[in-house]
Amino acid sequence: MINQSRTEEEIRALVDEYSQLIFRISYCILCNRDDAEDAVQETLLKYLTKAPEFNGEEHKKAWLIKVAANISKNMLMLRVRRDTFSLEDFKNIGICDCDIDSLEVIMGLPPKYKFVLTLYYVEGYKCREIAEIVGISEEAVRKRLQKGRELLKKEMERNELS
Amino acid sequence: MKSIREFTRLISQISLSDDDKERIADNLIKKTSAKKDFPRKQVAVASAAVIVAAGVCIPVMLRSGNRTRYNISHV
Repeated sequence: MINQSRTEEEIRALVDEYSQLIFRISYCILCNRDDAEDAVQETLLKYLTKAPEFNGEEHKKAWLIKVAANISKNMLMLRVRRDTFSLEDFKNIGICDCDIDSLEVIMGLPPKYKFVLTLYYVEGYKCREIAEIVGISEEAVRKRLQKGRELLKKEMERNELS
Repeated sequence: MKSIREFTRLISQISLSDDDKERIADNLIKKTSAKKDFPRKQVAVASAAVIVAAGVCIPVMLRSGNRTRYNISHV
């Protein structure tokens, strides 16, 4: 049920506070700006309509990340064609021309590694917290981090050589 | 670690513009208010009432119709 007391200001404040985080997570999985924006909208709509009681700010943030990741993965499965990266798309998400090659390499990594790497290095979550969000063991998170780092290093070195 | 630094730097840069945020907020407001306006509960109650009324009235009407025909045949 939608909370009747939510005002426009509250919705705008919610978008201001969480849309960047959700967009980053969704973009890492979907590699497409428009789809990531749709995922942000779906996630926040789900929050407005179906959010449970939260124990605190961190719990709420973790819930949003989990929902965003699930929505993005579902969208990825439903998408028939695989989008190619476009320069326009990269510019629209705040990446400058000189960084486009590197971002293309990063976005080429499998989503499960990008997701865990983003939560660990960008959002600052600990392995235990990531394990709870993703729904895998701590050991599996560590393995994904290790494998993700190796893949990233390999791909970046290959990109520098070419 | 250079690759991880690069990863962190670039992923942190990914962002939505203020216009994008505003568009998302507008869409959310539109969607939530549209749902608010739609009286799901009232529609469900009204539908249930119509079904119950039909369930009661139709057999009564049919019975009364039979009785009328029977009465007429005897007149």
